[in-house]
Amino acid sequence: MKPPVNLLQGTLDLLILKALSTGELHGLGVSRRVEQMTNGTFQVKPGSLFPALHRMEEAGWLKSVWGESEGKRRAKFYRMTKAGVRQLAAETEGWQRVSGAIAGALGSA
Amino acid sequence: MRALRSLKSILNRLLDRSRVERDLDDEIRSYVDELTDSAIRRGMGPDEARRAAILDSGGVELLKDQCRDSWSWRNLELLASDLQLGIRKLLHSPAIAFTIVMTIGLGLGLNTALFTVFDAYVLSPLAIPDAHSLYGFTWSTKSGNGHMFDTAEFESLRRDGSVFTDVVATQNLLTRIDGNPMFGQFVSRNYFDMLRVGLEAGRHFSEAEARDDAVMVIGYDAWQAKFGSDPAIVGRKLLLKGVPVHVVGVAKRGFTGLGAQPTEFWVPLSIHRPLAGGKTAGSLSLIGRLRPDLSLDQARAQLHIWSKLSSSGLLEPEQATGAVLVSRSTIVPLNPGVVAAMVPVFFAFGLVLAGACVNVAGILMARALARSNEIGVRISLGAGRGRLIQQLLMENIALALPACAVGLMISTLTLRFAHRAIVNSLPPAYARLFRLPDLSTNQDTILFLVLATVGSVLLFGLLPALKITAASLMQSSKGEMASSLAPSRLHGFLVIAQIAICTLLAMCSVVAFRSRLSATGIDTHMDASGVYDVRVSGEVRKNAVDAMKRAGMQEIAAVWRVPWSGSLSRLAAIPSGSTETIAAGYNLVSPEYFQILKISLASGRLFSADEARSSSAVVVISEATARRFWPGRNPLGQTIGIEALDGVDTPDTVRSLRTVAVVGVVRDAVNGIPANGIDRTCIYFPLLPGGKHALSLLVRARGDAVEAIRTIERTLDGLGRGSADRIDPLDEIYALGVYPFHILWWISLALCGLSLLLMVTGVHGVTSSWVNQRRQELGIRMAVGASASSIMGLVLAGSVRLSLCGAAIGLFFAAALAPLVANQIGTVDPYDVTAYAVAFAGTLVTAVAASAVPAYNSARADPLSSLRSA
Repeated sequence: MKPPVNLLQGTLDLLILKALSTGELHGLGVSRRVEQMTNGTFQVKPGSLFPALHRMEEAGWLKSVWGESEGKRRAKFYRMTKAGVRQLAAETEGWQRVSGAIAGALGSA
Repeated sequence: MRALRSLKSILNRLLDRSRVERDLDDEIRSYVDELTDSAIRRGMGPDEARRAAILDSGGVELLKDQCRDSWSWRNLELLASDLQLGIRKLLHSPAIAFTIVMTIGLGLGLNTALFTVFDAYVLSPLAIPDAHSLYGFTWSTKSGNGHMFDTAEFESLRRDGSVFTDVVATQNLLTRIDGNPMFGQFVSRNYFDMLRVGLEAGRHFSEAEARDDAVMVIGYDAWQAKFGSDPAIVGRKLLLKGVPVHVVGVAKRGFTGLGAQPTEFWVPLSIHRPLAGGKTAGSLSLIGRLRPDLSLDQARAQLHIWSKLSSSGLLEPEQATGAVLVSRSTIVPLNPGVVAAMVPVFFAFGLVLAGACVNVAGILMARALARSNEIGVRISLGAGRGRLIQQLLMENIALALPACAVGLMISTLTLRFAHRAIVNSLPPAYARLFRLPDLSTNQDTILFLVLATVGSVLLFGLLPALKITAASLMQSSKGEMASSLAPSRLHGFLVIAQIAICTLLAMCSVVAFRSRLSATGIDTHMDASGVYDVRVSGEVRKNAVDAMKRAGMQEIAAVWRVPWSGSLSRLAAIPSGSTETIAAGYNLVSPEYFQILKISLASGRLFSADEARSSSAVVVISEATARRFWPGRNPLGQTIGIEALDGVDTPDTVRSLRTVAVVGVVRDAVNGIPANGIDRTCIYFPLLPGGKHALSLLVRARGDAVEAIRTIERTLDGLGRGSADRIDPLDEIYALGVYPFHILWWISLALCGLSLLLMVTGVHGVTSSWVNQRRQELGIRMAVGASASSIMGLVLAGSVRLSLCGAAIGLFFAAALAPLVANQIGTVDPYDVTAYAVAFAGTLVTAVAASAVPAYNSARADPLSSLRSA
């Protein structure tokens, strides 16, 4: 396995929204889903994850509810709101444009 | 929508702070527990798993802090806690807090009072629905005057309807009702329908009712003040110029018409004929509601065409040259002229606020120096500069909030006091007419107060906050200040600023004082005591002189323009033997005019009653006119070629004359504006009492003013009840002419006095703090042999230097700003050198005297204790 790389600026929100697009997750769940989705390339540290979750909840993209984890513990679950879905679509489109442009630039070099 | 959601979320969190903290704690702990469980599942022991989980999360408390930092409402919370801290700090030194709050409150209060007046006259729309669509209309003429309309022109514009949805016509009317002078208006019958203002009681008149109904709507304030809120006012019959008029309604409270002078009653134009002899030609002002689909330029263009067509039949000088539209949505329209007049006033008031801010900055500086150790320790412990400045500014906001409240209180009190002072000091004949618009606090005033407060906080708080936090780590740990903002430099700046402001205001004040002296000290060379200006109109005028003579009033003169009520009218005069055209002042008077006002004859003769009757081509001139027209020659028998000036209302009897002969010369006197002094030129034309140009009768009556006015009124009532429009003592007309100079002097004296007080306390405070800072240095000087007088000299020399510098800056600004006010009030000389010298010297001496006490104290201090305590 390659060593994990640092998250690029702006990609954290996109990854979190993507991770939550399949259903609600608690903090650790989000972190694991991101790791799993990126085949271990990205690891989200709690120092970045929780402030981001709180910020996104304040922005109205996420909503949180208290529920029970697999380990039968009380945990806070996040799920996407309609605004979050729209945000994911917008960020995905933006990312594809950027990555396409960069891939193109690198390919032509 | 998103912003609303965020705001809701922020508010929820702020209101339920403990739940938010509990949730955060639960969330982080549950995360760590989950990590621990997962490590145990991977085969670690419970303790080891727990340690690894905590390490992996980077520490529970740190993680919580990182989350808190991501909350946007966190900043609000910090501000609130800073504010709380600020209030607590101020409560530790209540005397200083009180001084600061009162000083800033005073500056804010005076400025808010001024703004309230400005707002009421210039900014606040009238209490009329859709006031912004109201425009006054006239056409400009070649003669330079705005056209006054007659009924036919008014009706024609109404019918036209292409620019205005409706138009009203008004004509002012100053008369006496029930012995009270009252200001009213003749208005077209559609007035109340067009303005859509309601009534407090009764009904208004409209176009539907009989056209010759003598009805009146009375103003709410007049009903309250002059008729004692008489509940039976509607239906009451009042005598207006001798004609019985029925009061049919009371206008809605707050509605005072469309002009600067609040209207106290309205009567329909249709009853104009019995009241004023029916002359409405060229006397109506028109106000219309602009069609909503027209721009101002379009309206102006269409009205221009209409004016051209309507005026085509008039004499050439009266034909329209353009259309003039003036917004009537406020009492005084906001135009460049009003702004130019108000700028110097706002500037002077603003200076007092600036003085107050500089004063407070001095106090805060002294406090800042005393807190340098505390701030130093905090900087050493890692406090950021921005955070410290924010905290210090919040302390200032804690001061500003009560200052704002004090300011509002002072503003209200100032306005109340000013209103009372004006009513009590105005000549009584005018005090009864004087009314202010609604000056209560409104949202504009509050907005102004808040903005002024924010500006003040920045002005007085930012400098000390910047200065105290500018220390480097090394300096702050030793309790020293940054060298770039050394106390002495800042102290100098504050002292200079205060002295400069004070010098500038002192100069204004002395200039105002001297112009008041020159305005009130003028000898008019007339004796007006016991003389009354009596205005009667219409038919009664012809019989008034005889009636008053029968009643024992032997001295009666007729005059066209009452002396002192304005500038003399002018005409173009060409003296015989000269080709020069001189714009000369003139008046029309009956032969008795000179006798009643005791203007003695210098040579020749006065005109006779016959000459007055036949409007002969003879004139009497003043001595100054004789000197100006024929220097060194005998003026008697000379002739003057005369011609009316363009744009000046000239009586037809004068207009018809080409050349007049000088038959007499009278002593110089003041016929024009009192403050302008002796008339430079004055030509007296003969006037027939009872004639149409005899607008006023001057009557000498016995007894005190109240008794004399009653006697005159009773005599005129004999000719028809209520036939006197005005009966004013002539010396009150003079008093009104010089009144603005008193006002100017009072206001500038008050501003100068306050700024002087602020300067004395400020200079004293700043010098004391400076002496305190240099206690160690002064102690050493004394210890090595400096005498007490040399120490005192050292402090005083510094103070003299700063005072000179401040006063010079004040002088520079006074001279630089003088052109701004140079043409505002003709008789005020803003370049008065004596005034400048007096103010300069006065401020200088006061400033040095204010620093003498701390200088004396510093010289008396014991050097050993100074060194020990430093």
